[in-house]
Amino acid sequence: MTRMALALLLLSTGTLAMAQDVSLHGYVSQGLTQSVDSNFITDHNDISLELTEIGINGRVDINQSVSVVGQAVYLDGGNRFDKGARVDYLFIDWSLPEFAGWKTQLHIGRYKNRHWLYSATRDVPQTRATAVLPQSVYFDRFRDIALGSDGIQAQFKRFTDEGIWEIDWSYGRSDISDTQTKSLLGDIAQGRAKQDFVHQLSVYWQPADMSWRIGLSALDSDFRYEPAATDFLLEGTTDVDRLMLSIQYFSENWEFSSEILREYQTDTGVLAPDFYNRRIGEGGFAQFRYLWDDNFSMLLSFDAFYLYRNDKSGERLEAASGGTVPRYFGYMRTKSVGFRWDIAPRWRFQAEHHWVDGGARTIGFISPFTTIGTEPEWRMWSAQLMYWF
Amino acid sequence: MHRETYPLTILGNCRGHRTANWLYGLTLALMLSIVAPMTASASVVVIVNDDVSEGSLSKTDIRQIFTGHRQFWRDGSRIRVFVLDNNAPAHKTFCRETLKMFPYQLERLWNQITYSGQGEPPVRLDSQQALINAVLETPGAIGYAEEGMFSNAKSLEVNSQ
Repeated sequence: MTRMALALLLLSTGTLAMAQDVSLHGYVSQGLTQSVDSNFITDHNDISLELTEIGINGRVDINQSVSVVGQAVYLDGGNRFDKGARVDYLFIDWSLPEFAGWKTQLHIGRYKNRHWLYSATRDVPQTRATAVLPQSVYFDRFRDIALGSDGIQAQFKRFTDEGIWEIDWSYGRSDISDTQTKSLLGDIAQGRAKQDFVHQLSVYWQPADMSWRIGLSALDSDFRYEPAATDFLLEGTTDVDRLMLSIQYFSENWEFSSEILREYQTDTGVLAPDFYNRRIGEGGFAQFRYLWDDNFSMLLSFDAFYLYRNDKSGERLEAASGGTVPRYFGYMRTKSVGFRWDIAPRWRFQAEHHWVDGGARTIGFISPFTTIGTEPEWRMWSAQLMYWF
Repeated sequence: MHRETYPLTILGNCRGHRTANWLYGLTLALMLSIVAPMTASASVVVIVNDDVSEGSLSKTDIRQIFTGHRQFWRDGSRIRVFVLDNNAPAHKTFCRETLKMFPYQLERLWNQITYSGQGEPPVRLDSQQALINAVLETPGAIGYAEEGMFSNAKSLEVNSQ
């Protein structure tokens, strides 16, 4: 738990006595899962119960314009992210007086990322179309860093007869755990990766008939590596910029969503004193969901990510690494099918299967040498039962 | 500013109400108001508890309230939203005609709000009568019901902004 989150937790405890209103919600989800020919989720191709999500979130209204909100979760996602409990978000939610038709919300503390289509709900099993979201955008190894940050977020919304404008701006940072550091840089990392800041802006528009929604988002984030006294790795930095276009279309019996991104990354140091690498990656997903009726729906999805937009086959990556990084780690293309059954109010069964070609999102963010066992073609599946309140 | 008016209704009776007790009927007449059918042909109208002091609501107000973007009445009291299950015909009609969205969109929006700690989701009820009763009995409540459920209507005015 970050220091800021802890401070806010104490603050929220202290403010309970002043609260006008307290609300609590949560979810419990347990699944079966397996990754075959990749250790992306499970080791040794085993079927596993490592798909557990338990969360509880609360909101304490201090008055009409100020609240304290937070969520604690326990997660077990196999190799996808750290197993254990954490505070996903904990912030003061402050509604400012409406100005020129714009509603403004300030989130101060560990805020939740609201900039991408599913970033605000990626932690909540019953809101996700699939247990494993499209990795081009929702890279699981970055889950805790991308879900929220310690800092400030402002949301501006304007409702008009023509439609809804939404602008989100945020500035913050996240702590990176030892496990995440090793996940990003490899087991040889003895020091700590740190995020200096993440700065994001997004703009969304939805017309009055609510049938579609389009948005643009931008991200700028700097990381650095501080080596331990005895370390194979060196001091270094990584600068990431991301631009993304998001779109959704809603029909009575089907919906379509897509996000395409371009990612600019500059790495210096870490692997060698004069190491410098600049890459432009790109990718995105298209997802189609058909609703048979109120209780059954089916999903088809295609997701693709390329580490280097000018090296889609990965040949240059393999050559540059002297053959130590196979070419298929330069790309990752995933075809998915999913099925959802709403068994009863607040109960859902969801299953999915992914066929994957390549491993670009199974390697470390900074160092491609952190490859985990992945074959050129692999697959994964999961089946989840979930309850929420 | 262009103003569009809609017939609004104060209810004096609820047809089909199980309680024959005249006192309950009188209470219902005093407590329940229909405030904003969104189109002249709308078959589902918005209802509020009688302690709600706002005499009119705009289309934008209603959309904001039912999508969780407005959670307090102008007098500072909390808005309590009641809806029917996703598969109820009145809910589908209300979502489509009034909110201009499909039930699954509304549910997703509320999930996003609820599980981001941004608000309390609507209370879901399994019958129109239960919804009407809940709106009657809950201060600050808002919901909807089919027009044919009521009689003794009185028209008011609401603007479209």
